[in-house]
Amino acid sequence: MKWKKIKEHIIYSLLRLSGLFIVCALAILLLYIISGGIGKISWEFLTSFPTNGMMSGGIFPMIIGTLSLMVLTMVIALPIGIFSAIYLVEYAKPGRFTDAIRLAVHNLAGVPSIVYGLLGLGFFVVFLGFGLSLISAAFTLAIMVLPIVIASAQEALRAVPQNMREGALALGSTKWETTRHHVLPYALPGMLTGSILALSRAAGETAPIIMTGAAFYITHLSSSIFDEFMALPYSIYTLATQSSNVEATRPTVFGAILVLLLIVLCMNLVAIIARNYYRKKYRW
Amino acid sequence: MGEDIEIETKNLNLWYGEKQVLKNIDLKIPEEKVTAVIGPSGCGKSTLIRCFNRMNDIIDCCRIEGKVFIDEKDIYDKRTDVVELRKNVGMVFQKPNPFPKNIYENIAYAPRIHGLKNKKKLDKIVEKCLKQAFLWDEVKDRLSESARSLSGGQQQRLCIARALAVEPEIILMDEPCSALDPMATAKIEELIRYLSKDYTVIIVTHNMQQAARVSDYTAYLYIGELIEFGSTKQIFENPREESTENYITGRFG
Amino acid sequence: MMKKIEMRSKFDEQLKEIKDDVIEMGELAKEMLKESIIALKNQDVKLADKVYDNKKKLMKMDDEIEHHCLQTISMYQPMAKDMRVIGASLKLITYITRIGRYGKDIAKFVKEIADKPQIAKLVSIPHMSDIVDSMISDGLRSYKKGEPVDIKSFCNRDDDVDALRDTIFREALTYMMQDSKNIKRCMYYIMIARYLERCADHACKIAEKVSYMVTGGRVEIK
Repeated sequence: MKWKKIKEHIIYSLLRLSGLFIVCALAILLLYIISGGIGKISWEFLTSFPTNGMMSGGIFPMIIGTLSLMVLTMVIALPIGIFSAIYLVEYAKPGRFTDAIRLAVHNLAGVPSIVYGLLGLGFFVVFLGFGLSLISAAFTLAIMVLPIVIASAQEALRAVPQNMREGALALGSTKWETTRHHVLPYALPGMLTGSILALSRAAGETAPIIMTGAAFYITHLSSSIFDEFMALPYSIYTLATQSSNVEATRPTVFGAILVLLLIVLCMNLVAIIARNYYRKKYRW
Repeated sequence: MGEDIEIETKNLNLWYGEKQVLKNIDLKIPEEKVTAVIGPSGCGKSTLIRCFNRMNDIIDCCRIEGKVFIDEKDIYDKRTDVVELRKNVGMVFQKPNPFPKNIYENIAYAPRIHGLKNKKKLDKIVEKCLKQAFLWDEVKDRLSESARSLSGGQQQRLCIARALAVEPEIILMDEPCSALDPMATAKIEELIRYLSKDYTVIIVTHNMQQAARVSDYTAYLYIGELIEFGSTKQIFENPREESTENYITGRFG
Repeated sequence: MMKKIEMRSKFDEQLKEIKDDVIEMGELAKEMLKESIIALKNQDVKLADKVYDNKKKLMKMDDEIEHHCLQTISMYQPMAKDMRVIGASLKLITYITRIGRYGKDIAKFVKEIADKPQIAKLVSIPHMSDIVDSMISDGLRSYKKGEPVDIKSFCNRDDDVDALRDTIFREALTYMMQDSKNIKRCMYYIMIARYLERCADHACKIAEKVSYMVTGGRVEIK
């Protein structure tokens, strides 16, 4: 039936078109940013402080701010997330407590980031008295990425075949020995890659950090985690929308966006490379 | 029967949730002999032997009533140390499941976690167990290679050696040959007969001829009940129960 | 009440074929024995020749049934009762072959002594032959139906056959002492009696094997 063949062709073309659309969208985005910002990228730009109301100089403190925030968030989120996942997959008995945990994790994942910002402000900044600081922002972001960390950690743990655990238990291993020697080594790579991917999304979050510690302009690097800090997303936002001289600051904005994108890209690449390396090392 | 009894169950009942899987099992397993457990799929054979090393504990909805005595102690008593029990009652699974480590580590793992750190002693144990499992000659030059590089039959023998490393008295085997080819199966069967000199072996199998070849005693289970237990010779030549006869002649199941 | 699902109908067909063939062979051997005695009584050389020629058919059936049994064992690996049926069948064809061969041997004698009349209506030989015939028939019938065997009846008949053999021996001896011309003929009578006694023993063995096949227990008929 010739009509059927024509229909096949049409549908195939439509599907390819949508794929093409995605590629084009990304290409346009990248081209726009790269063309606007590549001129600004230089060693000086990356390592010097902004000057002249951000119209010239570099974005060094924002880079440091974003990177320190990521590290701190990871330090808080990873252990909690991984241990929660281990509890949920290996230890939890079916019951109301376990159901409550699972429900909590699911709901946390759906909360809008601005709400996290409010949470961070109310709890960490005011109630606990950390003030607007790196640590408040890190805690807020940590809670935000926790559901994703837990989800990917659970997946990694579940991917370990049950007969590994049974083999260890049958030899007289305790539950923890089994988990530690026979499950974690093989789940850890998957857990890490999942967490890095979660963090790379958090790197670009603006709303939560605005309300918990990101500052528009400080003259020096924060000396402790209880200080305010500068971060790329917030600086990009303020430069793009509230600058006194939009023309002059535009190159800085593009440069900062490009740097942020590169940071995220690098994190994703690290995750992919790590995953491939560990996949080869720990073959089932 | 005239033999010493290693394991005895009294009125053993087991439920998975609402479903009763084992009904009133009264069974006496003789010491240092091979006992085969046969029956159609789903009749509870694997579940029964998993009671002997309390592997059913890891299933959440599992509930047990009745007593299981090993060396005259009820293993379901609250005071029982499950880790010690599982040292004493080893298990080999249907699909070979060596750890993704090297051959040496697979065997040394268990003695090490039970406290043996001396390298020389561990070396001795590894060699002894691999010899007992008829595997030493094939792997003695490649102990540091991954266990996954072995063939299916070799992996299963490695799993048997691994179980022997903690010096159990009883070895449970859950259809150990069903994932293996005929030659590997023959080797494992020879190994089982050899092991029965020093260990009590309980083997679940759905291969009638294997049960007849390998075991001294046979227990026939049907839908969770123990229908008949006796010497293998008697069960396969002249069974008492009609159900047993129908099953082993292939008339059903 | 469990449902017997016939999952092994091809195997059951094989078993049935083997049993039918064994019965057929048994009937052939029984007939050979019976007809050899009839030929002896009537001094019928033609009948004796017919019995003699049946030997080939008997051997052929022996080989075919044995082959069939071995093939069934290797293909189906029978257990319990099925295994006992095949085991019994293999043994039965051996005993049946021997019975048939005795019939053939007796038929050979017919030609030797067909020239002159019999002595004393063949003494008790026909009577002995009837008892042996009944024993073989009962054994085969129990085999066919899978019924238990009446051990006592077999013991009694075996005793009768043994007693008859002794009687024939003594009678023949008397005749030989009376007239030396009787020696050749009476010697054959003694040998025939001996063969019939052996056939009775084989019939007892058949009964023993059928009993094992049906009950799984061993009996001995003395």
